[in-house]
Amino acid sequence: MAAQRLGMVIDTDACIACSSCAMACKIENNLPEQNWWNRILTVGGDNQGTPSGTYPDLAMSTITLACQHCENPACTRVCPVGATFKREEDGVVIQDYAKCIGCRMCIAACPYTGVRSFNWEEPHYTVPFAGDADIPAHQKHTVEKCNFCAHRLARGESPACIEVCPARARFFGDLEDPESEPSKLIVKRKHMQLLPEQGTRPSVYYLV
Amino acid sequence: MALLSDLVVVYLFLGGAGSGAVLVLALGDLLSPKALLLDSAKPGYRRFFSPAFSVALLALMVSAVCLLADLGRIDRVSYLFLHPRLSYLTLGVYALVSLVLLTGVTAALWNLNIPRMPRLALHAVEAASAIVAGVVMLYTGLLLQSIAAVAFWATPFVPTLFVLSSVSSGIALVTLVQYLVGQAPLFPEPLRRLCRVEGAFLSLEALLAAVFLGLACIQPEARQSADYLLFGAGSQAFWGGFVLCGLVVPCALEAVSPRIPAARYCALPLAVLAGAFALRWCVAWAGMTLDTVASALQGLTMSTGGV
Repeated sequence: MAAQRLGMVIDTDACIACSSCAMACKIENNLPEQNWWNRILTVGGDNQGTPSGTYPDLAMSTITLACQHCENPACTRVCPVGATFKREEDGVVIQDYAKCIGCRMCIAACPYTGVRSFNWEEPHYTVPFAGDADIPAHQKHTVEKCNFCAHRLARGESPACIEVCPARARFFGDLEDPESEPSKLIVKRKHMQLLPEQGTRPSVYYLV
Repeated sequence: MALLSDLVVVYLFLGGAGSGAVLVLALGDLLSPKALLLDSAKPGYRRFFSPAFSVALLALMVSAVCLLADLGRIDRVSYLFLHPRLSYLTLGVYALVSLVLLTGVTAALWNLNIPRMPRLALHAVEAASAIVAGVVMLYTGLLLQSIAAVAFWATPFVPTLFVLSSVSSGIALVTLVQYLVGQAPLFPEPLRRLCRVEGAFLSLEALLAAVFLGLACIQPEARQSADYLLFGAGSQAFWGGFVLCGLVVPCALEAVSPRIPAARYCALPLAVLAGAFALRWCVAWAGMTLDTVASALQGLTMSTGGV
C-alpha cells in the first residue's frame, strides 16, 4: 500500500473564528497553561482580534494556525537527535518528547513561527487532567506542537479539531488519495498555503 | 520568547574568541622561523605560548559549558553522541569538543616541560588545532545562517562576519593575556604585528557589517531586524557596543597612544573583545525580533494568488 500524506483543508470562508478547534486541541491534548498548538489569528491587525486598515477603512478576517506538517519540513533537518521527524507511513511530523534535548533549533528553523511551544517550566494545568488517556505526558524543557492528534489517528479517528468544528470548516484526509474530501476540495476550490516561497510544501491548505 | 538565550550569545562569543586565539597561536608557532626542540626552546618563547593556550582553553571550555547548559534537557546530552543526526548543531558540538581536547593537549605540552619532546609532535597537534579552530569559527556563524526562516541570519555575511570577528577577538585575547602576565614588553615585535593584523580584520569587519546591514535594510524580510539594530531597542548595543567599543575605540587607541602599553595591550584588546561580544548579541537578538503572528500573516497575504 502506498504511503499516505495526511493533510488538512480549512475553509476560511466557512470559518467563524469561534476558537472551538483551539479549545478542543487544548483539552484533547491536555495542553499546559500558556500552550496553544492551534491558534486563531487576525489577518493584518496589529494585535490578535484587531482589524486591519485605518478607520473607517477597516477589514477583519481570521485564519487558524498550527503545525503545517510540511512535506519538506525545515524543523526535521535541524534537529540534532531526530526528536522531530516525519513519519514515512503518513507524513505526519511528530515531536518525540522522550528524545527532545530542548535545543529549540526546530522552533528557530520553522518559518511558521509560533506553532511550537517550549515548556520553560514544569507544565502547569488549570484542570489536573483533561486530555485523552493515550497522550504522552508533557515534559519540562522540551518542545511540543500539533501532531494531528497522533493518538487518535492510531485509533482510526480524525484529529479533535476536525470533530468539533461547528461550521464544518475543517477537513482531514489523505492528500495522495484523489477521492478523499480534502483532495477534492483542493481541486474544486481556490486555495492557498502559508509561505510557499519557503519551499516547505505544507500539508495544510486554506480555501479562500 | 527568546529562542537563543544569553548563554548562546556567550557561547558564540567565547567560542569565537577562543578558537580565534588557538588559530593565531598555532599559526604563530607553526610559521615561526625559530622552530626548535621544545626542551631547548627559549624560556620566553614558552612563557608566550603557555598562558595564552591555557586562557584559550579556558574560553573554549566555558563556551562549551554554555552551549550545553542552554540545552533544556542537559540530562540527555549523551543523545548527541549516542543517537546523532547530521545537523549543524551536532557537527558544531563535535568540533567544539575536539578543539577543547586538542587545545588541552597543546596547552599541556607547552606548560609541562617535557624533556626531549619532539617539536614535530607539538606541531602536529597545533596543525590539527588550527584546522578545527577554523571549523569552530565558521560554525558559530553557520549555526545562525542555517536557520532559513530568519532572513536576517540566512546570509553568508553572518558566518563571514563571525570568522573575521573571531580572528580579531582571538588576537585581542592573546595580547591581553601577554599584558596581564607581564610578557608584553618582552615581545614588542610579535605583538605589533598581531596588532596590525587585528586592525586589518577590524577594517574588514566594519566594511562587511556596513554591507550586511545595508542589504538587510532593502530586504523586506530582514528590514525589521536591521531597524532593530540601527534605530530600535538594539541600537545602543549596536552603536555603543559594536561600532564604538569594537571598531572606533581600538582604532583611536592605536592612533593616539601606540607607545603606551596599558592602552595598546590592555584597553585596546578589551575594547575589541567587548565589540565582539556586542556583535554576537546584536546579530542574535536582531534575528529574534521577527513578530510571530506577522510572519504567518505576511505569508497569508503573499500567497493568495494560489490556484
